[in-house]
Amino acid sequence: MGRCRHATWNTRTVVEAWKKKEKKMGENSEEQQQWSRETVPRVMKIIITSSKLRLPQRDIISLLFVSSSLIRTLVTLPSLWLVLDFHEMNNAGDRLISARSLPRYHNVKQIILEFAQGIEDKHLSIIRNQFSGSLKNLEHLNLNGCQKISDNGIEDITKASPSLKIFSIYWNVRVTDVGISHLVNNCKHIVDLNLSECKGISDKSLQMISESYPHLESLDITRYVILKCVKITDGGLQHVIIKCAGLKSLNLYALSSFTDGVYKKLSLLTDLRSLDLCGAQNLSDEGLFSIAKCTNIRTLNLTWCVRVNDAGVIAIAQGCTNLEFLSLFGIVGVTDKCLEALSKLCSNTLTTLDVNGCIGIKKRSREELLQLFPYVTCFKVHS
Amino acid sequence: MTSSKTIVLRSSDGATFEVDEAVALHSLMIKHRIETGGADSTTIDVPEVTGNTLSKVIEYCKKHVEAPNSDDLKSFDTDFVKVDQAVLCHLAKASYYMNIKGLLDLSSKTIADMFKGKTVEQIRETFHIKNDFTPEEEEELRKENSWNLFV
Repeated sequence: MGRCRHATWNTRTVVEAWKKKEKKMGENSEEQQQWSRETVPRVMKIIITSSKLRLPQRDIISLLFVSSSLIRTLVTLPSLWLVLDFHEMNNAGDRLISARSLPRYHNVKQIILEFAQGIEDKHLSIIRNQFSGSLKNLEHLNLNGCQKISDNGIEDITKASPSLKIFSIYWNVRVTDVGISHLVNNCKHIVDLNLSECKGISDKSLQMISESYPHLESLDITRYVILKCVKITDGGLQHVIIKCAGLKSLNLYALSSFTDGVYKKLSLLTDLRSLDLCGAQNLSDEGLFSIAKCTNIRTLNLTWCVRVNDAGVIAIAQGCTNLEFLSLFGIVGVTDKCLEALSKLCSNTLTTLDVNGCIGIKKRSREELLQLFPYVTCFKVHS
Repeated sequence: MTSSKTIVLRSSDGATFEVDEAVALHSLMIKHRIETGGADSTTIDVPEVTGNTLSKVIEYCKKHVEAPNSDDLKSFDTDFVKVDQAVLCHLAKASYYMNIKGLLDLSSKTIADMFKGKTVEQIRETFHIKNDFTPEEEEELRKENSWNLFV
């Protein structure tokens, strides 16, 4: 039984007392000043540093303009100035240089230039030369969609950022193995690399990556193969699998040239949690028998892996008992038999299951699936 | 059930509040004081917090200690922060000083939502802040940050 005895205060009284005080404050200049100059900056400092709040860049900059007391407090809070976000902005190169020249961004940890326009090699060259030592704390660089950047730009920016851990440059067709050689020479601590749709990269890059980053955790080399000319083969991937034993996430979406030869080696990646093999047309049950040894897999995408049959999926059910996400979209060779096995072994953890287009499975309606997999909430992954 | 111990909390302006020890312990700062305090740990001073604010803080702690799993806890929290910005600011300060994480996160988020997406003028108005920049200072600031302004 709780007891909270207080003589005269209850909520209504509190609110009334505050209303009176507020009115007084409007008239009383000294109190107003203390409020503006001390209380508000102090409260802002508290909420920014002590709670788990993450303020958007736009709001942070607005706050700078509010009052001189506030700006004096804000520029001393390091957590506000760790990210520079220019995604989808125009003139991004000039903006980056402007921002970087401000002392409060001296320790910036993350720069986002995803789909920004107006960012070219020359800007990265200026950053490297004018602000030497300036990006020494940069850990995360997102150049996704920055199609004008070439190997030269990569050389400059990686030279300026030796602490880089996460590097993402998807959909850039100018970068070649030369650019990757600059990356591996200048940045020794990469753990997360996204080279999705970088058509200029070959097995040579994979070999360099495997030799330089034994602690790599995540690799994305998704490739929509439109031309038959494929620069990435079993050999390149094999290097990565053997040397980067700690890989947790591997995205090989639409890389259809690999064969069972390299898929079987995936069993070496015992830490693997996420594997995307969408479009792996050469993957057979043999390959899946090996992959089933990666018992930590939570996410497995087998969309369009048309050579797979029940045996392979059953092996996965037996091996990957913590499976949460599975797509068998478009696989005609699997039947209800594999669903029974999955239900028996993985129904506790499965929350996403896509069996659209699996005409070999008779019981595919939502209700029938929920009978077997009570926790599934998402039935469609591939469109 | 054995009778629970009570603690007296004293605000900066001398107001006293008698609360169950369990409720008071929701504040890690008070918990620490009690655990490290001597024999006379039945009255605890909270000099950073006024009576008005302390009363509201106690209300929060009471609800969260006595009915932590109740269905209406969420709506209690929502209603609890339907107060004006001055009260919210004092709540944030008090919860920081008294180390009550739930209340700190709640009041912080509410304050941040109050200035989310707002213009500079609107923020000043909402929080009763005086603009003390000179026109020259403002112009300089604008130039310095033109790279980020959404014109």
